[in-house]
Amino acid sequence: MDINRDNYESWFLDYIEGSLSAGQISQVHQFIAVYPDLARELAVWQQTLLKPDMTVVFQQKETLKKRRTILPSGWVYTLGAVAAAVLLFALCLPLLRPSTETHGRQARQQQLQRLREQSSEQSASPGIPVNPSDFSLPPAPSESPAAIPQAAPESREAEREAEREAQREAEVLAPVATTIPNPGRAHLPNPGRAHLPNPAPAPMEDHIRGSRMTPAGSLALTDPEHPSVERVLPIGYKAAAPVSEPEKADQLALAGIKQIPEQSGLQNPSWASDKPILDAINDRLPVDIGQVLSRSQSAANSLAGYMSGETALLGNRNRDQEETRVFQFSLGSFKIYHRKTPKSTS
Amino acid sequence: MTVQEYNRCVDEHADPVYRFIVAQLRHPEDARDVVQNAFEVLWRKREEVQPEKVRPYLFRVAYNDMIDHIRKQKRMTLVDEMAEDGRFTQTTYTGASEILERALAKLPEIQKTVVLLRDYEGYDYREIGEVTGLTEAQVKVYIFRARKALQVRIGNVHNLI
Repeated sequence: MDINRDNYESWFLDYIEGSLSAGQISQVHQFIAVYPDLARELAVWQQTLLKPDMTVVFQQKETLKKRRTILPSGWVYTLGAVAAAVLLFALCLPLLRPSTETHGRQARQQQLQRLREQSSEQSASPGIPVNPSDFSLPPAPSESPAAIPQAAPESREAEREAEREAQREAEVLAPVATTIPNPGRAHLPNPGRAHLPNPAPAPMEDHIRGSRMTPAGSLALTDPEHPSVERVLPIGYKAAAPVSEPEKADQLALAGIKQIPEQSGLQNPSWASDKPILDAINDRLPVDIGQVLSRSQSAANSLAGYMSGETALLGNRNRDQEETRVFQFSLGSFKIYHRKTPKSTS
Repeated sequence: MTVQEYNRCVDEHADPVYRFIVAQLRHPEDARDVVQNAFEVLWRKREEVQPEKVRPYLFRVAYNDMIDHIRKQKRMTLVDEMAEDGRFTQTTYTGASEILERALAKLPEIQKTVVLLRDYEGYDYREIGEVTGLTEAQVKVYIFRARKALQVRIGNVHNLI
């Protein structure tokens, strides 16, 4: 059908969209030559073509990109299993303690037996009075040394030395068994309340920068406003014993963190592509956490279990909203805490 | 799709997807969220999406997310449109592109979408149908209605000037 005043609009549409053949284009040109008013209308039709504004770009491309996984995902499961085994072993240590004490007592008995033998040899030599009844099983290390019966000076000195050695041995074993079940309370009676009545709302990245691992496995955070005071956050705490709500509230209060309802890394994965946060985490982890967490909840749990023995708290401040997001790893859980901080004037 | 290929997709497609969405939502923050979600979906489905289909896939995901977003924000949108109407009669137009932009903003969402995909991306009717779930005939009808509406509004403004 040729172009006419009844159907010219569909022809105009095809004309501006470039859908017409050369012959049809020629028809349109002849048509508008006959009808100048429609020529003006065709000019307006041509103005309906949109042109993209190339200056409009997506500025945050880096936040969309993914980092390569350093460890294959299977390793995460393996590491999680190893960490769980280590934790299980650590938890069983208190049960083994009586046997180690028995072992230490046996060692002391053997050592004393040797001392008796030496004393017997010495008693054979003239000039040194020896009373065999002076030798008996030494008391436990907590007992007073004064309770040790009298003996020859050399023998008593050797006996005391043996006792001291046995006591050192017991001391080496004992803290392992007593520290692990409750490291948080053992190292953190209430330092924040005692030394930091008003926890400073400093950016968490500052805390992290000044953090260090304590020998007991806790994460010590140096308060930038009080460099001499360390706020120690226990880690692996939940692995040893469930944290009650008041205890957790205390720990969070110490860190100046306000807890909001828990969010799973999977349910709210938008942060997982936030590059500054990923960088802050990945700088401290041997795995790409964003990739791990985007795969499955079990992977997140495995990673959390793995991490519970090394690092418990990582954080980064949202550059736009003055918001600190703190990632707490503990066995079987992964939580994000948010803390609003006053917008800095600088 | 490897991490490297995915990151290359970000470099190549983030800008056009963002332009497509922000032209319709006219809200950069919301458009950023939509784009971010589209790439997260792509990452999760990276094993299923064929490399040559990545771009239309991103547009389709972003389009669907945008529609959901618009539905949720319907009340706010209506308020905005009323405000726009007030400005429309009072503002002095400074250029053809501004006239076109304002006329475009008043189109129904589907008409806006098809005409943007046609002009911004150069998609044919079949490709636009793949993104929007329409048939080719429906796409052509919507494009015609959109251009006709734009032509009328631009013509009216010219008549006023």
